[in-house]
Amino acid sequence: MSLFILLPVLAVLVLFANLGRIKAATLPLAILGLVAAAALAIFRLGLDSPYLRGAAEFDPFASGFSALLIVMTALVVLLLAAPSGKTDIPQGEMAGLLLFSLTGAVMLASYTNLVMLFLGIETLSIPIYILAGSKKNDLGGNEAALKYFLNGSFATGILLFGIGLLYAGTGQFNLDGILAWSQANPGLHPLFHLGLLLLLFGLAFKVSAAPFHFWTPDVYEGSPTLITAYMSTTVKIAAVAAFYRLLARAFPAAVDRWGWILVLLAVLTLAVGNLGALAQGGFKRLMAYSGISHAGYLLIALLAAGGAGAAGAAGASGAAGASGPAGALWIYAAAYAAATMIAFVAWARLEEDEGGGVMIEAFAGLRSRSPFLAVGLGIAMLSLVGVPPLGGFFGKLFVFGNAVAQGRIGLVVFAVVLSAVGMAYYMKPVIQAWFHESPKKDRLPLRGPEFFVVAICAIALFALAAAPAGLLGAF
Amino acid sequence: MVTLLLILLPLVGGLLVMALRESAARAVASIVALATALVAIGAAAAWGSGAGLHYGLSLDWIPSWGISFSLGLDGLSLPLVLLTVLVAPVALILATRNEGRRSPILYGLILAMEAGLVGVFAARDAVVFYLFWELALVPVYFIAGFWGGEKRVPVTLKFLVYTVAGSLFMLFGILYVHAFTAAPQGFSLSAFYSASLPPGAAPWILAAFAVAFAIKMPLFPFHTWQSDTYHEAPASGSLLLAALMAKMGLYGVMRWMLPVFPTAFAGLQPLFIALGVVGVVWGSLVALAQKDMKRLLAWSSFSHTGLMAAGVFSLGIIGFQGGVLQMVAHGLSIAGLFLAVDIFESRTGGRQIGTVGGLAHRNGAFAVLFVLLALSAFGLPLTAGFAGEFLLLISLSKVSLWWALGGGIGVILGAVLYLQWIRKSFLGPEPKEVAAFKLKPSEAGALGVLALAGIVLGVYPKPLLELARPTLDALLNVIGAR
Repeated sequence: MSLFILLPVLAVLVLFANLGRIKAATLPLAILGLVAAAALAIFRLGLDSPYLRGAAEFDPFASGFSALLIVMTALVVLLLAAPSGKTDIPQGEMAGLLLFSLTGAVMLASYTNLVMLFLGIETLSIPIYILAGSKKNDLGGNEAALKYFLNGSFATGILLFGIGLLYAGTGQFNLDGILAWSQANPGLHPLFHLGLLLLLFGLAFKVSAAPFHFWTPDVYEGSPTLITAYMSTTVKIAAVAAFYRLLARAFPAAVDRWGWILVLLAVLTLAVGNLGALAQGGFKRLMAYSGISHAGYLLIALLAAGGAGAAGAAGASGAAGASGPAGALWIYAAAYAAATMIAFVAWARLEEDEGGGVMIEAFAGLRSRSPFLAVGLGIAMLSLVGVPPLGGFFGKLFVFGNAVAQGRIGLVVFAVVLSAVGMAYYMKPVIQAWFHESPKKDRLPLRGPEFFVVAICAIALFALAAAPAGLLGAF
Repeated sequence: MVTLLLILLPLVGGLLVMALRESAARAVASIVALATALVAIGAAAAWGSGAGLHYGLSLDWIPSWGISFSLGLDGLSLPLVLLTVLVAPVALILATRNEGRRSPILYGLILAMEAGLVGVFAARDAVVFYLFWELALVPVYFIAGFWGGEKRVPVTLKFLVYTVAGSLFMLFGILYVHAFTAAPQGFSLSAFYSASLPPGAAPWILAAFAVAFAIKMPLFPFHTWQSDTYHEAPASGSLLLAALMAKMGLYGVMRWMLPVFPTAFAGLQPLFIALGVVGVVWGSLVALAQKDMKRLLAWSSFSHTGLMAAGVFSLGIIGFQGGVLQMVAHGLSIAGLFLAVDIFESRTGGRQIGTVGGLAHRNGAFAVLFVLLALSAFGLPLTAGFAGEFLLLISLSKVSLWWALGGGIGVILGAVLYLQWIRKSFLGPEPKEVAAFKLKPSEAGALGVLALAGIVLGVYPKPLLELARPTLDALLNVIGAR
């Protein structure tokens, strides 16, 4: 429970530090706190007992995903320290809001009660509604904030309705209670299954799976780039973790009911994401569709939650099978997040330099302007496609491998075909960066935090190749 | 350890070279390439005998999935590794011509690709194989995309998407076969050889592997990327693609496709042989119509690969031996020819056939070396190309005389092709617009070594055939055993 105390307290401290006369201390404070939080999650300090009457539980799955979420947020906060030339970015407030949002993300990774799931989603989202519009005078930002807010509220409404129906059907909010109920009551129960369906749709909104994806490109494009980076990494991973936890812990028995829905969502999401990305000329929109397509692959990873549950009576994390579906999900999510982070750091740097260009052509000649960034971009994009030995490859290997082992052959073939399409659009920025000349010849120096974040993420993408054995078994 | 050294030396060396300045990079790259070649030659000299694995290495990597980092050399991989370490320095020689265009990175990429290729030929685990398979691709994409010609960007992107699509199908196939390996499931070669696939699915999974290998070779009708890519890539890139990367496909067929799906393949054998033979004839016919030398080499190479594939698909020890011999022979001659074309272009200012002739008057030695390489390429007796093609055609004739006839027509057309080229470019009246020129020592040396190797292998192919024989017998046993 230590994380649930540390993170909000930290957020409050950061906000007060920002209000008071110690503005210079806000970001260092936030980062120190996040490092401490990451340490708590990684070494599982003070996290062992279930608490709040079993509303949350830090099993290995929860602490593993919490660590990932905390680290990704820390990287974003670190980037706040590299302010753009414009000084209208309120660093302190943004850091505070990010920390509140992170608290919600950690709830989503650790909940064992549907009320906690709802609270987590809200705590995660509300700060983002504000952050998306943090450029107050920017029309695009305002539009993004409003769109995100309206769509997000809609999704939460559906989610809440689903929770209500489930409660009406089973009399339970608790995941384990729902599991026990569903095992005792096989067969079709309208309230139970309609509730499950609405929960699935609500979460599909949050992970931006098609056909609930349509807000994503506009919101990603309009929001400040750092917030987009946060949304496409931490927010998406938190939602996916929540999704997995729900399916693996409460509904493994009902896999026949939700499996085909997820397959349908995955097929649609992969098609929309990959084909949509192919048509994009703007980089942030490209990354938005990239995020949608990866939501599709992550949905395939979620399917393994049912397999593990069916096989091993739903261990705490669903990781009953030797093949480690939760570990596969973690590796996939971590690789996706690290690569996406690099892409957005590169974009944020260029955006600042160009002053508002949105097209991929802004990357032209990056190799001579900042070789380091160009190499990082290449690594990130190749990892997103799934080229070995980068993390993205291992994510795909384990996710597809589990799906094949479950006999979902058609789905994997479909995903494989669309991965090849991915090569065509992920190479667009790389081609600009490496094979085209820039109209601007001046160097593009990186600031310390930017350099650090790109380096850490690139190293992580390689390191994921060295450590999958340990990671697969860890959850 | 030796195998790992053969991979790490060029890989680490390549990364190091990228960070150096031009002159230092050139020296270090040459040293690394030569050292790698020496290690490989040393490994071959200390070979001994037997079908078994030499210089094997196996480290646990992802035990819960049965993935281990296994490498090793045998009679099938060693010839191709030797080819790789001999041809990579030639690519470096060609690369030194791109002065001023970030050459250290080019040298580094060539070395990285060398590492990938050695890894492909040495991998004993399907995931490791896939890893090196892609590691060999990425550098050559950047080589072609950065140092290539005018239309390089769309052309190389097509090449990349095409080959990656193939690779991803193979990845799916690998995962599928893995799901049917005996417990404890694994990705090792032996696990794959004893996997029992459901008969209904096997042809489809075979197709997933076949697509990847057919695109790499390329096999008809998956060749549409080839001509444009060879044309747009810089000379060093075309050389790597034609001499080495094309061999990855056929190697994959022999190592990872035929022994894993013998039953499924038996039903599809006529189709595969037909694709190879069609490629032989198609390639040489199109090559006859080419004016651009690099395009000519691309199509001729396509034709040769078709014959190699058809011979290997005929499933006999003669066809397998012919395949190995011809892979080496073709790699040597095509590497020499790409170097020669680049020399030709740099000295005459163009590489269109027919615009400049009579080059024998300007540099006799160059003409002789070119002719030797061309003779080996189209398979004149006493050259390696002849020995290889002869074995391949015999093997084909054992399946059906008609296939051999088709292959033979292609070989004859190839002879016409190269003889015409020699006549138009090297014979004839003195060219007024070209002054006499000399070959650099590196150029003359590389051409000489490649031409000589082709002749030595042609006159006395026995050591190579004997080296490969036990391994090929073992592979055929696996194929026949099921």
